[in-house]
Amino acid sequence: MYDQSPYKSDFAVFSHPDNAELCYLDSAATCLTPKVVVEAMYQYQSFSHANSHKGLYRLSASATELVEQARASVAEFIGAGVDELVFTPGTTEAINLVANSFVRPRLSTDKNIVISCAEHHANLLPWQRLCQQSGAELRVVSLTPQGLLDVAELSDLLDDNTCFLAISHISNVLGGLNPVEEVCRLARQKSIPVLIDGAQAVSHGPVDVKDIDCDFYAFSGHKLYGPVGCGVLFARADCIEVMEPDTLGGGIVEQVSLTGTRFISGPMKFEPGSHNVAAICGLVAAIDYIRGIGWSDLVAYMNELSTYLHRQLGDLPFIKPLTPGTSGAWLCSFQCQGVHSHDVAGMLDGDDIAVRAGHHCAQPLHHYLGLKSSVRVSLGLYNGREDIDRLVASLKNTYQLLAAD
Amino acid sequence: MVTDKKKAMLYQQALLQHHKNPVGFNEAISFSHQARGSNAACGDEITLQLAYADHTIKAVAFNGESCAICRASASILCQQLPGATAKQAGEHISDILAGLDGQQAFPQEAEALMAVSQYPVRKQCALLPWTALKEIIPQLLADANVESHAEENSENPQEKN
Repeated sequence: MYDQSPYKSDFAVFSHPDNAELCYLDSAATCLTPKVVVEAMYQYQSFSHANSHKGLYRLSASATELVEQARASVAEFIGAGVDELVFTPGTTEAINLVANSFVRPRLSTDKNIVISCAEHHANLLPWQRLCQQSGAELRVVSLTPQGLLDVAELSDLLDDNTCFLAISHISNVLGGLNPVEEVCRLARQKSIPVLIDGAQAVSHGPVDVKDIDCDFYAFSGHKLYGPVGCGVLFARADCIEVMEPDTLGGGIVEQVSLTGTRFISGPMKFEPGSHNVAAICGLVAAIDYIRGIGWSDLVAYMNELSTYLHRQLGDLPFIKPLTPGTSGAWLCSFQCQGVHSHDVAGMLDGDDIAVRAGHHCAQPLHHYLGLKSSVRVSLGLYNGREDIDRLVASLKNTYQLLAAD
Repeated sequence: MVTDKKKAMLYQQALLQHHKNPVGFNEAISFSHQARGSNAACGDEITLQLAYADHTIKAVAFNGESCAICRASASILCQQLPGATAKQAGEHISDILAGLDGQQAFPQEAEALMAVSQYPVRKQCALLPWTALKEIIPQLLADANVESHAEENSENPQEKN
C-alpha cells in the first residue's frame, strides 16, 4: 500500500501553497473536490449557462439536455428509473420533501413513525416535527453493541399503525453499514414505506435502490466528491404519483389560473424554480470520476486504508472508540481520554490536520452513548497512510500535552 | 510535525498551566451569587459561583465540563476577580472582550488567552465564563446599591427624616 494516495494528485487543493501540508480527515462532512468536477462546472458556467427547461433558444435547450442527461446518468448510478429521480439541493431538502409531501398527509394521532437513535438531525427533526404536529408517535430503535441498527427491536416496533420508516444506510458518526435490505424486507411485509438516508453510504460502494427495495433514497453530491448544491431523491414512481409538490414556484405546472393550479407529473414537479445546472454538471462529473476509478478498486483502496486507520488508533490506549467492532467503517469516532474533543481538534489543527469534533449533528446518538461530544476522523480517496501516521503522531502529542501528568 | 507559522500557538504553555492547575475549579465556597454559561455549539456548561460582601468580590469558583480554553479562561477569571468591586469586574469583562476581539492588548494576567483572538471559532470557549459573570454583575450592582443605601441610612439615620 502506498504512503501517499495514488488519487491525491486528482485534487487541486493540495497543490495550493497554503495546503501543501493539509491532512484532510473530514470527508464524512464533505469531500474535497477533484479537478474534473471543478472543470466540468467551470465549462458549463463559462460557456453553456442558460436557464434550463424554459427558453426556446439553443443555449437553453442544451442546458435542458444537460440536466436530463444528468438525470439519466445519476438514475443509472443508483439503479433507479429516470422518472424516479428528483434533483434537490441536498439530502436535507430531500428528506423534508418526503416528510411534507408524502408522510404528512398520511399521519394521524394513532399512527407512528420509526427511526433509529443514530440518525443525523436531518433524518430526525422532520419526523419529530411531523409527530409533534399530528400527535403521532415517534418510535426510536436502539443499536447493537457494534453500533448497528438493532433489527430485532426494529421488527418489534413496526406495527399496523406504523406509517413510515426512516433509517440511515450508514451513520455519519459510527460508520457501520446497516442491513437496509433486511430492514426494507421487514417493512415491505407490513406495507410500510421506507426512506433510506444514503448521505454517507453513496460514496462507499455501489448502491442499487431496487435491490435495497426502498421507497425513497436520499443523498448529497458533495459527499460523493461533487459540489454542494445538488442532491438527489430517488422516489418510486408510484410514490411520486401520489405526492403533491411541497415547494411551489415556476416550472412545475401544467396550467395556472388565479384560482387554481394543475401540476405536471413526474419528478420535475418537485424541482421548482431554476435548476442548479452547474452543480448538477459537477455531480455527473463526480460520478464519472468514480466510474473511472471503478468501484472495486475504490472500495479495495478505502477498505485497506480504513483497516490501517483502525489498527493504528487501536494501538493508542488513550483513544476510546465510541463503539467497538466498527472496523469496517471508513471513519472512526472516538474520545481522547482526559482531553475535550474540541481541544483534540484544536491541537490537530495546529498540525494542519482537519477532523470533526462535537456531536456531528447527532446529539441524541451522543446522549444515547452517554457522551456530549466526540472526535471524528473520516477518510477520502486522497488520504494515504501518511495522513494516518501524522494523525497518530499528533494525537500522541495532544495527549501528552493536555492529559498526561 | 507541521505547525501553522502564521498563527500563534493556541495551546501555549501559560494556557496549559491554567488548564492543568485551574484556579477555583471545583472549589467549595460559600457563594452569594451563581450563574451558568452554556455553549450550544459544543454542549459545554460551566457554573460560576461568587461570594460577594462589603461591595467586594471575596471569592470565585467554577465547575462543569469544558474544553481547555474555557477552563483556562475561567481560571484566569477566578484569579483576577477576588478583591474587585462590581464595577471593576465589569471593567475586567470589557478588557477581555476587547482583547479577544483584537482591539487592545490583554491585561498581563490574561495573556494566556492572547492567541485565542486569532482563532475565531474558539472565542466563544474563552468567553463562556465571562458571559456568566456578565449575568451576575447587575445583581451585584443592585446589591451594592441596597448596601450603600442601608449604610447611608445607618450612618445618617436622621437625614431621611
